[in-house]
Amino acid sequence: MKVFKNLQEAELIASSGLVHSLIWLIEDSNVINVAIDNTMLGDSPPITLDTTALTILLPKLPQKFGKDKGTDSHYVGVYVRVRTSSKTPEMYIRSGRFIVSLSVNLDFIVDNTPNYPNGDVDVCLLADFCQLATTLNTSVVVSVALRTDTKNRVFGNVQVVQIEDLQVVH
Amino acid sequence: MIQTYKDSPIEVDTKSLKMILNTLVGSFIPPVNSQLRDGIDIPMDMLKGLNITNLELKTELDYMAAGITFDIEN
Repeated sequence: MKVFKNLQEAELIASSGLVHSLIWLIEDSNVINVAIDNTMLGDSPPITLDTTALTILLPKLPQKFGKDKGTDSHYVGVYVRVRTSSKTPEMYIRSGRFIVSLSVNLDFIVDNTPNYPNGDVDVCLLADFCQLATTLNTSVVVSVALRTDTKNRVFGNVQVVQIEDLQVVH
Repeated sequence: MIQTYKDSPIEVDTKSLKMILNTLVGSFIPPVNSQLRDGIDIPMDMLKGLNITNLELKTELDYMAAGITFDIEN
């Protein structure tokens, strides 16, 4: 750390360890951990989160899960719970961009209650009203350009959020 | 490409799912960028006691480190 007494300015080069600690703090604060339901997908999403619509991606879902499983009449809400996995994130700084590679688990949870979405997915699972259908582990790459001004504000531009790999783990 | 896990009753079309998830995630980028363009205040109170009045983040470094300069109040 360099300190210039006359200019009252100091410069600190933060090690990758510190930056990793910051990422860990973000992870630990549960900002990334969220359960996504249909109401959060916005206007005209590419797919809706119910057992019928997800048949195209999870072919046996309506037959195996949901309160009307195995019948033709089938519309049961599904949550996608996003959780960071225990794998340490990798972080790089290249030409003014922060590049972070995160390992994220996606749980597909079927809600058997009539009042989907019903708020707390963890409670729903504990009460056996919801069922975990499958878990996928994904590798997500995020690239963000960041800069600050002298007014203590951070400006940025998310350039890439890309799912690179996807494995079924449950 | 269909994947299954051991005896799990569920099959997953991972290739299509990846494509749809990327489309879905991509739709969240413009609103986030709109917010980031306006700037987000750094919570200076978390640096309370250090008498730091200005923070500037330098991301030009091509190494695994971030440079931070800041002014110190007398």
